[in-house]
Amino acid sequence: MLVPYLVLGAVLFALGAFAVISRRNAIAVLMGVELMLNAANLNFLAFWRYLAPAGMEAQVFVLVGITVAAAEAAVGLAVILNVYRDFGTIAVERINELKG
Amino acid sequence: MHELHNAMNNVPLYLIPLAPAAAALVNGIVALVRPSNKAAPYISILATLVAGWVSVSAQPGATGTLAQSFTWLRIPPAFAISLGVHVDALTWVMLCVVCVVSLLVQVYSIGYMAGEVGYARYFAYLALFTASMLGLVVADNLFQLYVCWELVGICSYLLIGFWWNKPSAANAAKKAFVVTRFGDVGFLLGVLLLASAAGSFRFEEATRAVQSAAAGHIGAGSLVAASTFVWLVPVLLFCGAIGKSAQFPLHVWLPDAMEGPTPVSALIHAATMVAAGVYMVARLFPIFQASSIAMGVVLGIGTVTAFMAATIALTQVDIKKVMAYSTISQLGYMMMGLGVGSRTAGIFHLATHAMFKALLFLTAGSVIHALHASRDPNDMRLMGGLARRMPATAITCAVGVLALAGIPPFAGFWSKDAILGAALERSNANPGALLALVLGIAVAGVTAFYATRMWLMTFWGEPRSEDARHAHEPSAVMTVPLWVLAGASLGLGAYLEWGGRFTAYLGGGAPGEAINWGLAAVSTVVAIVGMVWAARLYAVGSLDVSAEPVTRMPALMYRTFVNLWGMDAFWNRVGAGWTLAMGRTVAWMDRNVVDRYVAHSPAWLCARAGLTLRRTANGQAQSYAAVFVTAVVALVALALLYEQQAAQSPTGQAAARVIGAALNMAGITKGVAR
Repeated sequence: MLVPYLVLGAVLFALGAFAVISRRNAIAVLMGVELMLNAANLNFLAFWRYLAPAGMEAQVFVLVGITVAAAEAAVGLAVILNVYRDFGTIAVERINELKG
Repeated sequence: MHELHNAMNNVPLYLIPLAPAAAALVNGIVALVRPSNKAAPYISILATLVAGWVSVSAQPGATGTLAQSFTWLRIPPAFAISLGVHVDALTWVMLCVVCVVSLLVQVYSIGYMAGEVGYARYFAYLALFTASMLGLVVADNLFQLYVCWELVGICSYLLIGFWWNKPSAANAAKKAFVVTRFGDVGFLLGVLLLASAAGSFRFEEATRAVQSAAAGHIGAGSLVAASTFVWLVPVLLFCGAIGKSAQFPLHVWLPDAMEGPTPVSALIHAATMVAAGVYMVARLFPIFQASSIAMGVVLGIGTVTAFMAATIALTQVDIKKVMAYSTISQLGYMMMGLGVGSRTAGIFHLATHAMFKALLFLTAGSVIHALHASRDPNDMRLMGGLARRMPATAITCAVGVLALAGIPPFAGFWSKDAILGAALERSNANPGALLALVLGIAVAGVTAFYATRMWLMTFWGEPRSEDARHAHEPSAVMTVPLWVLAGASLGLGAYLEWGGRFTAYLGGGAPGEAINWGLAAVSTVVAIVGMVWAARLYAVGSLDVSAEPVTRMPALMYRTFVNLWGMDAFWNRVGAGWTLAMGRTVAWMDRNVVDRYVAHSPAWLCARAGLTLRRTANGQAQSYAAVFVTAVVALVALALLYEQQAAQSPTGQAAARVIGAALNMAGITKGVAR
């Protein structure tokens, strides 16, 4: 039963990575990041549930991961707000001042 | 490691080349800080006196040698290059000549170059030249000879181009250097061939190698067979002499070299540097004597040179050019003497010629100095009547002319007769010697004519220009050397010939050939005829320079002589033309092949690559992320595909250990079952 969960995790991760790479809207990119984090969490839980159900490390790790994801989403939104103030847009392809 | 081989006594022989070299260094520094310092000449004169004193006191016997040398470079297994001082009879004669003439020229230059810009630089160069020339004549090996040979060439370049902001002088210096360098290519080839066969640069070993090659055996290091070696080496060595001693066809630089100050012409281009070629042939005489081809080449070129240059001197109107061609002709004479097999005759003429030619140049210098305000101070057509105004110069110049013409008892008579006598002796066996004899006598007549013409045009009759009218005798510092050289031109020949002492000394103690008085009478008569003929044409009250007597000779002759037998034009077209054509080809190749493919292409490639790669740095975070993801995916795929091989390779095992350790630290136990 392990493998289907791993596959699900991989699919979610790929979808998230795709969103990060290809979305125009910065908030959509953040959504992609959330997806990737959730996929990693899912992977951790799958391994824990089917390979080493006795220990607690994975659960702790996942809880921390969810918290971090939430914090990171908040920070990311704050960054996007500031970027909107500076550039007047949140289309990531327009934010290219490091070009060279 | 230096090993000093002190042969006979503790006379510091090293001082001979080193004292003038030190003076050159000192004067060089003086020239940089105080260019017009009046003390500069005295430094170099003092050094020359030191060198001269050591030279004179280091007189070896007729067969003895004095030597001090040290090994400079050792090349295993058996090759060594040494530097040192080696004085034997021939060297001692040369030392005396060089020191005396150098000293007198330097004293004269105090007056001649007074007030010139670069006064100290001049004496630095003169001291450097003296050091190099002395180093050349005391060399005991071909390496040192060649190095000093090139050094005197550099000094000649520096001194001809002394007034370097004059384009003609700069060009003349360049021409002198390039033409002599051209000859030096052959010289270097000869030296290298000789050294590779002999296994050493030293003269004794080189001579032995040639002598054994003449017998058919050649050293293992040689590049050519023995039979080729025997004639090829002396001919190649002679190429250097052709360049340095201004023989046909590389004589073209010497007349142009008259652009330099006249004392320089006296020292370098009359008495010493141009004599270096003659000295080299005399020093390596056994090498030349081993091959009749080589002797023939020396004789032939000497004869042609003597004749050609004498005819050209007839038509020149520049007083220094007359003397230049005269020098070329007399150097041909010396080569003739060597070519018929008489080393003594050649060197005898070298010594006497040094005296009277230096004298003639210095008197010409006095005249030029007196006329320095004129439009062209060298032009004899603007001279005339100077005998009354510059009596000392006129008298000493007359002595020089008589010596050059070969009138007894002046010096030139004895040495010229030695050469003609040697030619006569061998004329039965050697047809070339007979031709040389005939042409030599003819050249004696021509020489007497042009020398007398020169003297008369300069000193006789009425002044033909305002500057000539106002000319006056220069100061004592310029006239005393003239008197000394005049004395030498008068007495040196007779002194050396007395009892055959010169021949005995130079010939290693054996008595030389007696003078053939019949031949002497013939050549003297020819010379007197030449002088009288010139006197009849030129000793007139007022000379018409627009229709000079010489120009009235048959037109074809005159045109040939005045156009220098086409040699300058030839070299300009061939030498300069071909070299420039080759240069243009190479330049085209350089621009279109080398530059394009070696320089421009890599640069272009780099630029293009840079421009392309630059497009990855677009400031878009998403493209960076895309690269990132792609890389990770690729790495993981590779790891999965090649997992088996990775586990077996040391790198893969090390990586697995590192990752295992990292996971351990994170608290994840190893051995998670798949």
